[in-house]
Amino acid sequence: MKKQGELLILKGLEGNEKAELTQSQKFLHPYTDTIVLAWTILFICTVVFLLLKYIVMPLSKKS
Amino acid sequence: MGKPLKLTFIKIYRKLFSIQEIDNSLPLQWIAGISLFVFFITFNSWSFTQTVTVENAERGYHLCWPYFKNCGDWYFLSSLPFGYSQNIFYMFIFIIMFLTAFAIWKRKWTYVHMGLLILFLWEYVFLFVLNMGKRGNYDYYQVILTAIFLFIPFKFNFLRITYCALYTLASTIKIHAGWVLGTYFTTLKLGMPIFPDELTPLFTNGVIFMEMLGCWFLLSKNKFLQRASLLYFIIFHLYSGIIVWYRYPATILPFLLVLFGPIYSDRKVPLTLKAIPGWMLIGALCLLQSISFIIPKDSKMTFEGLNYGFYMFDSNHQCISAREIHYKSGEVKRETKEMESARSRCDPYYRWFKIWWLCHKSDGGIDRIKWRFIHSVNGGPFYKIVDVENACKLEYKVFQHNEWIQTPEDGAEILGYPVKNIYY
Repeated sequence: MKKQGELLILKGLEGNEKAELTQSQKFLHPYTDTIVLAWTILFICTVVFLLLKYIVMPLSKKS
Repeated sequence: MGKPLKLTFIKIYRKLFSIQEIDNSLPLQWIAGISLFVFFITFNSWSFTQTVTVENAERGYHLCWPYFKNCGDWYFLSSLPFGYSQNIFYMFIFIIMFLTAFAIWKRKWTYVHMGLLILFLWEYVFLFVLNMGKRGNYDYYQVILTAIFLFIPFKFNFLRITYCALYTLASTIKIHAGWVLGTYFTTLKLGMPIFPDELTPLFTNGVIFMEMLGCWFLLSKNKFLQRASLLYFIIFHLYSGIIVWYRYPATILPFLLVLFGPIYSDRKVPLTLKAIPGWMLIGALCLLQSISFIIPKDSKMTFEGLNYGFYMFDSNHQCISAREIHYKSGEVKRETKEMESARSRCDPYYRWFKIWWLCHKSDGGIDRIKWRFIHSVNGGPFYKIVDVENACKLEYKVFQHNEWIQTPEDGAEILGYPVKNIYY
């Protein structure tokens, strides 16, 4: 491990550039939490839809 | 065993494991072959390792699950150059695989089932009882899908439903900045294979969508959607093979092709009492996947509960574990382990287990061990997440947050920033 300014460089990574966001990531970065929330909502909707489609509705039809 | 007794046993066995379903289903017969193939590649890689040997446990090189920390006490095999028992054991496994292949050729599906059951039991014990270190997330697919083939009624239906559910569960660990922004790949020196860094978020979010929602089109009656989804996942697994080698696509692709390749007319979802074990299995998988979300704090940083569900490509890690071993004699030994590969499991538990073993299981005359653990996730800052004077006193809680693991929200100190890392 080598300390070089603010960088902490592990053995085997000498000479590599600093890990930074790309242009497209810089554009998206302020919206990260919103995108994460959107995916979470979509996940919950998917699970609810699957439960309805594959379990609740066929069972209610049966009864 | 007398003939009537043998016949009764076979009859009960066939009923218990719904073997008739295999007799009458060509896709299930293919699944038997695929499962055998995956067992072969799995055991081939295990047979020459020291993972669960007596000698490994004696030297503290093993790694047990947090729920069974004394697993090393149960090791009974020795491998070369220390002994022959493991080699003999794996040749016994080889004979079982050979006989199972022979039974497939003869279309004796009850014997095929028996052979696969023995192989499954060893795989399960190895992965979830005896060791935590030598395992990959792809092993979970093999265990789950083979378990359905072996034990669950409505085998074919549940194989298809569960296969899609596994994708959706795998998508949950990707709902994180590392995949939303694609920093997992852009913090690699080589970036994503083939595609430029600027397009990475497009692909990573595309994968989240397809794993979460698009996979269910594999079950669609709409031929176009079904074929498009199938094609996507075939390409996805071939592409992922560039960085995960043969093991993962060789496990997952054959199942995909047999379960969703041909157009099946029978798409019914079983909802009878007999289907309860299948639904319970799916429920259990959801529960296991949720553990890392139920335990507070960011599991990408703490790894707590992450290993019970799908974690493949959760995050890109770099970490340093530094320990100072203070012996009763007054001698002090300093050791540092640096993990620079993106796929390193920078799990504080792994390092804690080694320390626990040194303090409590070895007779090395240790007084105390000072331990620091520094962790960077997806190119973020290096946080000092563990800094303790005597790690011998630490206990690891299995299903709760361990207070001695600090996170950024607890105010963990930033020690520096990483450079791009490598994947190997």
